Amino acid sequence: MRKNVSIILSVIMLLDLCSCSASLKRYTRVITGYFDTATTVTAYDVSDEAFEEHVEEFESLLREYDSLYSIYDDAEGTNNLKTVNDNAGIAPVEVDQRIIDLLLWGKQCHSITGGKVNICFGAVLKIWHEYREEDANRLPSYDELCEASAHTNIEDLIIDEASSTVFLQDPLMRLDVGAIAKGFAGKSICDYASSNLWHDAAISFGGNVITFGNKKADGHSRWNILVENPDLLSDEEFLTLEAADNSIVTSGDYQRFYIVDGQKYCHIIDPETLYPASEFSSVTVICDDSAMADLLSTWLFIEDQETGMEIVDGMDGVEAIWTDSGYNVTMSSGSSYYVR
Amino acid sequence: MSGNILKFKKKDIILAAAVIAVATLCAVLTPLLSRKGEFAVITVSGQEYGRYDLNENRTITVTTDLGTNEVTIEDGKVYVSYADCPQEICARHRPVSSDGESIICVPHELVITIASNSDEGEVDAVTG
Repeated sequence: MRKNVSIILSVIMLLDLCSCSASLKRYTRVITGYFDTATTVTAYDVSDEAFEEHVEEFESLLREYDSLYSIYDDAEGTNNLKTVNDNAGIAPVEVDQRIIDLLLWGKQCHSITGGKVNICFGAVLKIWHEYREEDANRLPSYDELCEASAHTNIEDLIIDEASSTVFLQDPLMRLDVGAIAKGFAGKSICDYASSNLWHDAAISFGGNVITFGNKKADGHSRWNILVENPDLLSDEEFLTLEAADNSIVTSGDYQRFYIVDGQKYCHIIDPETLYPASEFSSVTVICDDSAMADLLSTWLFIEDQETGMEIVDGMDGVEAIWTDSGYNVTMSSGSSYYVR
Repeated sequence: MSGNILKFKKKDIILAAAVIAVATLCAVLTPLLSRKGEFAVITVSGQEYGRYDLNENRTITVTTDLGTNEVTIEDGKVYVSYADCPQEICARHRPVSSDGESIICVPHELVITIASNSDEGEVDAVTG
């Protein structure tokens, strides 16, 4: 009798497992056209129709944030960061609350990093951006960069929360939120998605990964997050991390860069030297908050190894993996928990 | 009565051992089996363009209004062998072969994803 009971129980448990994976199907969708990158959604959903519907809603949110936070393109029917930049020294611009929130976070980022991550650094970043796009085998002059860096004072960014306006007091100042916008938008979008669209998903906003819920695979409830190999000539897989309700963000020098006289110049600029940071080829940060992970990956990319390790050790629930320009890997003490 | 219990316990142990053995086997085999993808799926602007067996070496030229990418499948791996996009980030990408990995050409809205018939996926997301 007891034997029968245990067999019946086993069968019920097996059926449970089966029905669970049968009712939820795994879907993956790559969405291009936003934040100048590709967004990849892997999620479990009940049917093709439901997934389509949810992806559509997800994409419309992505579209909204991208157009609000763009400094390159006008937003249709509303003011965005480009409008704010275009009105530098001219007039305060009334903006969506989501812009106010991002810029307030940007001010916080400035104080957390002691100015190493500065959303008012657009004047300098713009110069590097132009040289990189032109790919002309030449560097901007130090004088040119210095002149631009005189217009990067965060105090000249005036946020009036009461009237929902933003004003750049310095006419030559430009906002550039590239270091923080994807992480901040991703966090807001995933907060919505996890309570309204999917229970379980792993979403990569151009390499800024946010996971929530569980992977549904035999023996795996954590998500496998592949860290891209910063060595472009290697065809080896680099590192796989396991995540659950974590955000994982990587800053690297191997996607957006250009080469002058055999030397690589990447897109992350150290505000102190005004030149691209060159110590690391990639820095990956793991923490619960994607806005913080995004900020930290840029910050740690600029700081030297020792300072970076102190920063990580001084924060709760933050781990980091550094790969230097010779592809030697250093990990913070708690990273091994995430390494597969 | 006591003999009955003993006998029952023995079978219990056998059952438990069998369950553990199967679970271990699954845990060990699943990653090994699912690691490699089986085919490459190419999508352009969100629409599937084609799916190609990874065991078959070939080159696929994808030309759209946005531009041209040449996708090469070689010894179970996929890479972009030529692209006329401005920064050629996709062409610099190392060859991919694991289930769930992808190469993306943002300007041409072209995505190559490695997939398999198992729906578990080895890689769930990529950072970098």
